[in-house]
Amino acid sequence: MSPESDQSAVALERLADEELMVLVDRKDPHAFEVLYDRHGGPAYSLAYRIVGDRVAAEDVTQEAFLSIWRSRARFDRARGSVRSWVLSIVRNRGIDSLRRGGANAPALDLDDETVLESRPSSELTEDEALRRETSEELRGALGQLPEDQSRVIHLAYFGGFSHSEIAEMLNMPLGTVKGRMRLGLEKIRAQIAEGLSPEMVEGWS
Amino acid sequence: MTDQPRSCDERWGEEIAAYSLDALDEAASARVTDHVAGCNACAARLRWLQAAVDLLPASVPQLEAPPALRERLMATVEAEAEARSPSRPAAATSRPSLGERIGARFRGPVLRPALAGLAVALIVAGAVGYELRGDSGTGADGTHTVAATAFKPYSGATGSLVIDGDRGDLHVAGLPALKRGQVYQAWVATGNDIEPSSVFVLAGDGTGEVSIPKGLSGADQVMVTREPEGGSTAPSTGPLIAATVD
Repeated sequence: MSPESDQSAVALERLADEELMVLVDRKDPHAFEVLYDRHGGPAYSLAYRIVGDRVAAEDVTQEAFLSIWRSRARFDRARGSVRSWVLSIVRNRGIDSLRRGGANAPALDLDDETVLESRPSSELTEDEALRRETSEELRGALGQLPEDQSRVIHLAYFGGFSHSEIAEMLNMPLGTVKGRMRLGLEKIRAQIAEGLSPEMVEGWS
Repeated sequence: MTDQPRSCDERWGEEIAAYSLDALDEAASARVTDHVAGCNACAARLRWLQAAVDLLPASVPQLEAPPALRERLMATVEAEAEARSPSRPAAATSRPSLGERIGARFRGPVLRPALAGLAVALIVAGAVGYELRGDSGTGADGTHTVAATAFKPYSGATGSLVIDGDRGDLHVAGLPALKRGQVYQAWVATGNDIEPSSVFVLAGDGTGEVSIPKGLSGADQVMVTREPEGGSTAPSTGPLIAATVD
């Protein structure tokens, strides 16, 4: 890489996500590369959680990022962070893939070296370490939710099921499903406000 | 949140929670979208809960994305960026006639029902004249413009497709406003094959434009459907508007 390329790469890496998106919108592949390097790991992790298969997760992640590259469906700041926007696209692609494939998600092998939790801290980058710490703390917070609340939230978010489908699956009234969604999300939200460290939340977003 | 009017919270609180998880059906989701647009308290509640939903992906075991995935993705992106370079000449292609392409549509594999329905809708629309080509022409830069035709009940929509070799730009106006979590998506139909292309949203004035990066050489039509945010790999609705490539 030439010195000029090094300089522009460093300059791009200093840009905030919203500024990178302006360049991506102008079809700058270098800006897109930086965007992927920031959000590709969380995107792939979410895709794998939804579809439960590595090859399918790669396809979902690739499709999601290519749609970001090719589209003019630009990021809207009023709707949250760039990461949240990217992950919402990954989620939609993942749910679509799940419905087409019909497969159940197998259990994740935590001895797999690509799982950040299974690697020594000394081997992780700063970003990977923060991701791992945030993930562990959030799972702890979600683990404190009553099982009936976390279950409906997981079925809706990671399974893509509607509230009526969940009501039928769990044989419970529609109002009960929505009530548990509300209570569970409010508890998670309270954890963000009071329990989780602001640095972790900001670092993730 | 405690100062929210009790009646509004009772009526919409649980709906908003389900809405933030994208767990409502289309009709219920549309009602929440409409209500939140006019209720500051509920809009604030939605933003408050959305922060919790946005953190759910962080709770899954974090993996390292495969390096090969990055290589494939960047190879595609860099190739498309290079193809868009104005110094690159448009590729010359030998295309079968329109009749051959339409005939080839029925010699391919059997489509899944949704796709078959989409293809039939296009053929029927062509038979009764909905695919009439309006104004078209060749620009000084060698591009070719064809008019797009809207399908009922979106007959107020208009559009044009500017074709430049294997790629093109689709311009539309008069499509209905999108709801939260929706985008418009372009598709390229060639015979029985319908390939996903770019997604887009409408500008403030109701117009939209989307680039079709590839696939127009030999294609029959470009069409637009409404899809979940991020797009789909197969159309989930019928087309709102379509342009014949010729």
